[in-house]
Amino acid sequence: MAAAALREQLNAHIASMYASGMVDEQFQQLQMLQDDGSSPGFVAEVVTLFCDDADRIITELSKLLEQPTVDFDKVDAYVHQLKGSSASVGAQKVKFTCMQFRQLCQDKNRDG
Amino acid sequence: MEAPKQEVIGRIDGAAERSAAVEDRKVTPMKETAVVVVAAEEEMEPCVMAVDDSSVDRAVITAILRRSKYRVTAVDSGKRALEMLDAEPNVRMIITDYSMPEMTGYDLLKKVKESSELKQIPVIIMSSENVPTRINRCLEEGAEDFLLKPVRPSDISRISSRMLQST
Repeated sequence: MAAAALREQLNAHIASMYASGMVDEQFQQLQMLQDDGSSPGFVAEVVTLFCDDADRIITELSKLLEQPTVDFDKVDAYVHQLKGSSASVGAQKVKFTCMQFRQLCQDKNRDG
Repeated sequence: MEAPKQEVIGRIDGAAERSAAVEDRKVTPMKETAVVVVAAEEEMEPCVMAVDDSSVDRAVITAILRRSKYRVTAVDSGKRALEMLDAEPNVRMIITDYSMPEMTGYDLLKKVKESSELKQIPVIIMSSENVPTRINRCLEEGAEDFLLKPVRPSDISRISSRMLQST
């Protein structure tokens, strides 16, 4: 009973993530890969990898943006990595934010 | 009865471990033969090498390939891929990211196609960026296909079907 209630909560949470645009159909692809059988913890594993990767990249970005002269090429390279991995897990809002960030890099807009 | 393939067991278990296991009676000679047979079969199973510096993308492409019933070896660089290609004789396809530090997927593709031992291995390039000049360059260098990320299971199914038809 408790498991069923938790499952319902989880499904509702995931539905709201889709509805709010936080995740896109790529996230559904990950769920399908998990449901196909051999890796019950696959989605959790990939999301954990993504969060660790994002944490590392954001730390590097913070350091770069604190410099008196910002190396926008390096910033753009890191944002490109984050955009790639966010697209791979279906983290749509992160992906779109990265796309905006890259535009600001091209404009050399540190305040943006 | 054919003698067990000793060199395979040596690679999997190590001769010392096998001797100790037999002495401890944990492994009987019959079981050792069965392990040899399974190991030999697994060794001969063709595999796909996935190359990507992103741990997230490696996990995703590995899952997609395994869903298509491939055995997968995943590495994080072109340099490591070339090292593994020396050691792994049954690589049937390489699928590599384009943008990687030090050695790009294009550089890896060139190395593979320049090698008399490796050039017959189909190479698929993946990229998150749709750059026509990049795509053409890879195809002209001999890439089997160019996939835009995120790669879908349907992309791999399409490639598998085409490659099966061509064999």
